[in-house]
This record gives sequence, C-alpha cells and structure tokens, in this order.
Amino acid sequence: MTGNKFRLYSLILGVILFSIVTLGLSVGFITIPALEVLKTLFKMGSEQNDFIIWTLRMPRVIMTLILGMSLAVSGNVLQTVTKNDLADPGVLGVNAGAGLGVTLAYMSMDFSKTNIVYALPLLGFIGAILTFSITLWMSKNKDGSINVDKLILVGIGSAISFSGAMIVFISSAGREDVQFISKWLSGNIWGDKWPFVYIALLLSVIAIAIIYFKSHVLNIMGLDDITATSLGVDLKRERKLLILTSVALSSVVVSVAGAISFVGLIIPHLSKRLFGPKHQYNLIASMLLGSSFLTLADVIGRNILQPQGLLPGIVVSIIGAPYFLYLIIKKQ
Amino acid sequence: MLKEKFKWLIVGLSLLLIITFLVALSHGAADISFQEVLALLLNEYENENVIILREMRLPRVIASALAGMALSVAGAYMQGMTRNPLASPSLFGITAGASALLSFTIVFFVNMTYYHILLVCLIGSIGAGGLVFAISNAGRQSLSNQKTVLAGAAVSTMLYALSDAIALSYTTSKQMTMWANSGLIGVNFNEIMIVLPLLVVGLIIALMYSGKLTLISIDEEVAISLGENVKQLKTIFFFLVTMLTGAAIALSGSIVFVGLIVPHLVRKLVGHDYKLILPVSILLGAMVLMIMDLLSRTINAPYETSISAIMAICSYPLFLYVVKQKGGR
Amino acid sequence: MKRLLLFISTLILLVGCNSTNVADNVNVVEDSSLVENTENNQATSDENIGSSDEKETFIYASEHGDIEVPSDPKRIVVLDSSASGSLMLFDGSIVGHEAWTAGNDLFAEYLKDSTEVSVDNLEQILALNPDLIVTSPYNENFEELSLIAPTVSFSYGRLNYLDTIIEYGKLVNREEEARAWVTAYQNEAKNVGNAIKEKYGEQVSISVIEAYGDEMYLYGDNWGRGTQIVYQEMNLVMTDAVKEVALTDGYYSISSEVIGDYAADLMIFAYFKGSNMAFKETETWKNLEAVQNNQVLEVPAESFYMTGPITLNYQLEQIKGFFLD
Repeated sequence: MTGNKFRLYSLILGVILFSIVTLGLSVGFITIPALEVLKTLFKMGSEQNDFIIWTLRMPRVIMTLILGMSLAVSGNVLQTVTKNDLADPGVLGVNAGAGLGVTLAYMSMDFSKTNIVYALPLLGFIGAILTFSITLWMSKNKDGSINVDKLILVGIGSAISFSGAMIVFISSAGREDVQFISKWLSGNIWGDKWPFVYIALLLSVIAIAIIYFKSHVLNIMGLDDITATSLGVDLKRERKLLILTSVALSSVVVSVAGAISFVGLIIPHLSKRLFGPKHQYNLIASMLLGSSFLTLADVIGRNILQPQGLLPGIVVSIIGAPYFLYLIIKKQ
Repeated sequence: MLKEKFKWLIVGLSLLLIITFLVALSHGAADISFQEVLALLLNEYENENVIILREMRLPRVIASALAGMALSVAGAYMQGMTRNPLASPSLFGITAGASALLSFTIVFFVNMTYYHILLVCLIGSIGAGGLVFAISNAGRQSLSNQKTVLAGAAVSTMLYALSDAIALSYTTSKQMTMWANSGLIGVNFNEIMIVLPLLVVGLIIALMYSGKLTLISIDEEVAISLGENVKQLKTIFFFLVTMLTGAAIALSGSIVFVGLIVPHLVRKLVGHDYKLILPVSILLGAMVLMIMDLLSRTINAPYETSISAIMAICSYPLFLYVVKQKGGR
Repeated sequence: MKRLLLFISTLILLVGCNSTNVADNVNVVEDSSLVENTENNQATSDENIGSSDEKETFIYASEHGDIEVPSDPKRIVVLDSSASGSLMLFDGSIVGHEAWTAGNDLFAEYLKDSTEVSVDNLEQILALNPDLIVTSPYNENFEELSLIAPTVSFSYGRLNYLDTIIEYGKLVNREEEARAWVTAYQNEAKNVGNAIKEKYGEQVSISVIEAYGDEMYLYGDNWGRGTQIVYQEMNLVMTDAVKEVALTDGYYSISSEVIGDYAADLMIFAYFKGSNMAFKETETWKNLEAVQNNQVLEVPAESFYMTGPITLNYQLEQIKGFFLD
C-alpha cells in the first residue's frame, strides 16, 4: 500500500466514521435531522436538542468510539505478537479477567460515585493482567515460545470459568450489584456518562500512542525470530511491553464500558486485508474501523427495537459470529 | 491395566459412589437425619422428612448422577474420536448450543411439555455439534483444537445472542429463559423417566462400542485396515455424543467441563483402553456431579448457586493442568 | 473495499429509515409546543427542558432536598413500581410507566393513556414531556432525569408503608385524600381481622410464601403480598419458625424441601408467572394441614406483591373473600 492510497482510504474511512457518528447523534427515539445536529454541535440549537445530544447521546457515542477503537487496536497487537489471526482480548480471557476484577471490586467496596471512575479501570486492569499472566504461563512451550493452541484454549476456558464465578457472585450479591454485573456480562455499554468517558479517553489515548509508536517493532514481529533479533529488536522485552500495553488498553476500557467480543477479532483482520501489513497503516485502519463498527452496531441496536433496544454486544455477535466462522474455515 | 487391578478399581469406585450417594442425600436445606435416609432407601417408614427426601431430594441426586454419567461418556467419546484429549461437549460449544436453542424456543412455546424440552435439547446438540464439526473439518487443519474451540465459542455466543434478542423483542424477560435452563432445581421423577430410556440406551451403546472406539482413538488407518467401517462408526459416535449431551442438558441444564475433566482423570487411572475408560467414567462422572449438585445446594444455603458456575470454578485449576499437559496440536 | 463501503452504506440507510418510522408512533406532545416551551422558559427552573409554561408549583421536601414540583401534576412518569399505586389513586394523570407496573393487572384502567417506557431510555421519557418523574434512588440516570423534569425518589423502607403512601399523597398535593384512604383502610382491615379471629380462633397463625421462578420465598411482616395487612393490621400470629428467619431481612429464600417448616393454619401463596410449581404435586405439600383444609389463598403475584393503596385494597378484598366465605 502506498502512502497515497493510505491517505485516500483513511479519508474514506474517516468520512464513514463521521457519518456514523452523525447518525448516532441524530437517530434515536426522537430523531433530530442532521442539520439540527450540526447546529447543536456548535451550541446553536434548541435547548431540548442540546440536552438530547450533549447530555444523552454524545457521551455514549464517544464511549462507544473509544471502546471500539481500543478493542480493535488491542486485538491487532495481540494477533501480531502471537502470530495468530484468531487472538483477541475476549478469546484470550482478558475481558473475563477484567470482569472478574471489576465484580470483586464492586462487591467488596462501597464506592461513592466519584471514586468508582478511578477504581474500576485499576481493578479491571489488575484482574486482566493476573488472568493473562496465568494464560501466558500456561501456554509456554519448553523453549519459551508461545503455544498458540494452548493460549486460546486457556483463554476460552478462563472466560467460561470466570463468567461462572461472576454468576456465583451475582447470586449472593445485593440488588444494585446484580444489575451492574448482569449488564456487564450481557454485552451492554455501561459507562456512558462523561466522567467515565474522560478517563477512558485519557487511558486509551496513552496506550494507543505507545502502541503506535512501536509500529516498526510490530512490523518486524511478523518475521521469524532470528531475523527480527538480527534487526536489533529485543524481542522478549518488546513482546512483553506490547502485550502488557494491549492488555492494559482493552482491560481499562472494558472495565468502564463493558465487554464486547469479536470486535478485537474481526476488525484487525479487515484492517490488515485492506491496509496491508504495515502497522503504521493498519493500526489507523483498526482505530477507524473499530470505532465505526461498534458505533454502528450500537446505533442499530438502540433503534431496531424500541424502546428498550438491543444490546450492542448482541448485535456485534449476530453480525460478527458468522463472519468469524467464515474466517475459521478460510484460515490457512 | 491388569484385569485384577481393574476389578478392584471398579469395586472401590462403586463403593465410593454409594457413599457419595448417601452423603448427597443426607445433606440439603432440610435437616434430615441419616436414619431417615436409610428409612427411605430400605422402605422402612414414612414421615414428613422421608417424604421430602423421596419427592425432592432423591430425584435431584439421581438426576445429577445421570447427567454426570452422560456428560462424562460423551466427553470420553469425543476425545477418542478426535484423538484430542481436550475435546468435550462444553468446550466445543455443544452444551451451549443446546441450552441456547432451548432459551430460543421457550420464547415461542411457553408451555412446553418435558418431551418437547428434551427434543429441543437434542436438536440443539446435534445442530451445534454438526456445525462445529463441519467447520473445523473444513479447511486444512482438520479438527484442530483451535478451530474447533473457537468455532464452538462462536456458535454458542451467536446462539445465545439470538436467543437474547428474541427474548427481548418478545418481551419475555430473561428470567423466563433462565428458569427454563435451570435444570436440576425442581426436577422430579417424571422428567427423569422421560430422559432415562434415552440415557440408558446411549450408555449401553457406548459401552458396546468401546472396543471400536479404542481402535479409532489410536489410529484410523489401522482401524480401516482391520476392516472397520470408520465413517459409519464416526457417524454413530457423533449421534451418540449429541444424544447423551442433549439428554443431560434437558435434565440438568448446561454444565461445563465435566466431559473434559472426568475422562482425563480416568485416563490417568486406567490408561488408554476405552473398554476400561468408559465404565470408570460412568462411575466417576456420577460421583463428580452429585458432589457438585450437593455444593450448589449447600454452599450458599438457602439460595441455590448455579451448578455450572460451581463446576467451572472448581475445575479451573484442573483444566489448566490438563491444558498444560496435553494442549495444542 | 467497495464491498465494505456498500455494506456500511446499506446499514446506515436502513437505520436512518427505520428510526423515523418509530418516532412517529410515539405518544409525543406536539413538536411545536416543545419548541415554544423551551423558548418561553418561565416560572419553573430553567433546567426543566420538558416543563410546560405557567404552572403553579410548591416546594416538596424530598430525599434529595427541597425540590419544586407542580401543584397539580398532569404528566407523571413513574419509574418506580412502588409509587405507582399511590400516584394513580391520588392523582391519576400518569403518562409513562415501567415494566413491573405494566405487569400489575389492577392498574389497567389507570394506564389506558399511559405509555410503557424503558427505564433507561431517557429520550423516550423526554418525548412524553413529563412534569414530574418518580424513580428509584438507585437509578443511575437520576441527574439526567432531573434535567428533564422535577425528579423525586423514595427509598423503600425509610418510612413505614402507610406513611409512605401519605408521602406520595403529599407529593401530588393530595395529602387529605391520602390520609382519608389510610383511615378507611385501617378500619376495614381491623374489621376483617376480627372476623377472621372469630372464625378461626384468636391465635390463628398465617404464613406468606411465594414462588418466583425456581426459587421460593418466605415473607416477614413488611414486604407486600399481604404481609402488612395480616401481621400489622390484623395482628394475626406469625409462627416462631417464620419469625426466626424472615424478620431480619424482611424475606427469606427457602428450598421447597422445607416448606413444611413454615406452614401455618392459614397460608397465602403468591406465584409469579412461569414459576416452577412442581412442589404442589408432592405429598409434602398435599399433607400440609392448611392445604387439606383448603385454607391456602393462591394468587398471581404480579398483582399481589406491591404495597400501594390499589394493591392493598385488592389484597384486603382477596383475603376477606377467601378466608371469610
């Protein structure tokens, strides 16, 4: 892919993203025509529209963007580092670990509204890192390389076990906690308020920046180990760093937003097919595609079934699973 | 394993089974003494507690044992068939498929009889199993762990998502579908009777074919050269697995990891001959699930804790161990 | 790439078209009046987007502090089912309600002109142009709701059940009616209670059980399902077994195995739709004295579990009708 093609495609994706965001802000129980949306964005619209867009819809749309973007980037990195197309934070048990951490935290401590915003990502991250360390440790071959089969098995097994654990906690939890946990488990986007958006934005931007900065390292990782090392890359250290960052990325966002599977799996695939193997390019694509896809799924979900809406996790599963199955068949 | 040793193993396990059975019967929400348990079994006398035992606890314990047997045998067959020590109904998405289809159908047919429930579970098992096997067979790495497990996860996630979506759009609350899937809670003899013939037939067939299973588990080529119709056998095995799984789920709801863990433990005890593995799996499977059911009844009394969740948590360390040893291909 | 574009554009179009249709079906106040109202922005606080103009208001002391509410609310959205009965009986102008309220058949008449809303769908609530919102204190969107209309919550159990009803009456400016209702209800309950004691004996005991899905619950003296009536108003006896477990938390989850332990002379058995009723076939159940004497009042729980005046009236009616026939 040439630089020009990249710029063109990115522009197209950017436009698509923009229209999806506009769609998300305009469509809803009360549909606001696009022109009004633009006016309101510049604070020139009616008070009611201002309320709807800025207080109700904007935080959710932005959170969804962040979540989609983070899951996609995290999946992209994991796939590159593990050299396996079928890796993603959900499959590797990262999301499940974050969920368990968050559940335990939520239940054992009594948070005032403000503390929660900081505590959740932290505990989610701890949960995810612990889980992923176990997963990684379990999948090491004797020579230290990663056995991807084991990785996936342990990941899925952990995901199953941990949602089981979360269910056990639900049955002994108080009413408010149950609501939160079941919302979380069922693929709902939970933290659609401004405080959560700020923190998710902050953390994800930092993580993605770190990752993007390492694009050239990621490019090299696609090669075999000997070539890579001879190119001056300290493989062990870089692998650790990248994995850590991508687990951090997905776990902190997932802890305030909710866990959605398949995004981190499918989007990197598409990104690489469309934008080629250069990570300087396909990471951008992952960001754009990931945020577009999830936001679109959320918009569809919210509007296809009035008034309660279909959870974005469900929409993603219904769209994503068949495509994923198709991928499995096509693989190799 | 030597024949002598095996005989003693069977005897020992059978004794353990009986003990487990008695322990499971004697513990629960109601405070019932051991004498009363004996009274029930020996048909001595009847008082309130004995009636409670007979009507509520006994069917439940029996059901858990039956489900345990069925799932363990299904798992053993899957592992032999695919020559993959990590094959199991839950990991390959079959259990989830059956229970998701049940949630799905309950929305449309709120008043299903138990026969219907059983039928739906069977269809779900066969459907999900077929889909997963087909997908993982296609392409080059036939039946690799990766593909099958991922296909299983994908199929079950999709089915669950669909059933959620339908439930929401028909304003059937999630509660309703959860109740349909709760299985062991409130199971009675009627339900057991409906499922029992299928289970018994399945187990007998399983035992009968154990020799063939051993052949296939070693090497298909060898089996063919010995004159076995491998294709036909594999088809029979496929239906056997889905039948047993479907029946187990109709009885107990979706329970994970049983079909993975039990055969593996059994293999550690008796080696690789399925003629030995299967009977022991039956005994051990029954025991494991009776214990799990006991835990789900007592761990957070008086609340019922999901048995699948308990199983998932308890077997996690074992699961990790199994993967560490045998994972990957 | 082209396929992707096509796919995405199709989806966007689909979504765009679909939603305009939906918005039309909503029970929305005319768009023009909304615009007018927001521009006029009169007497009430300028944070209330959906407020109508020129309404009389008064200050109500709510859980969250003093809040200005309309003196004669005409568009109430009730998101907390424990408030539904009172609001309906004393004011009656409900325009939006949530699922649990919808499930109570007793409310059908009152809800004829009301739309069922999803508690989380703030836009739908906004579209109803409410002038008062009542919700649960756990609602995570409380602040946003307050921006739509004056929003009030009532923590369950803060006041006793009758004072709570009076509070709701105060909220909609009908305190007199509320108090009158309470007096009448208490009198009737006392009379029925005395009649029951006459018929079954001074020390007659009663227990209240419920089937919810696969679970069974036992209730204390303050958790709906008729418990307030039989234990607090009529002073019927609660068995020791029940006292031991149900009074601390107000309710107690039991396994069907131990139903016998909590039986009493008279029993009320409420069941939610779709619950597992297998235990009714058992001898354990059939051997219970109350069952054999046909002294078990069986009622669908959806209309029996609340503690608002409409449901309380119904509970009292049922109890009177069944136990005193």
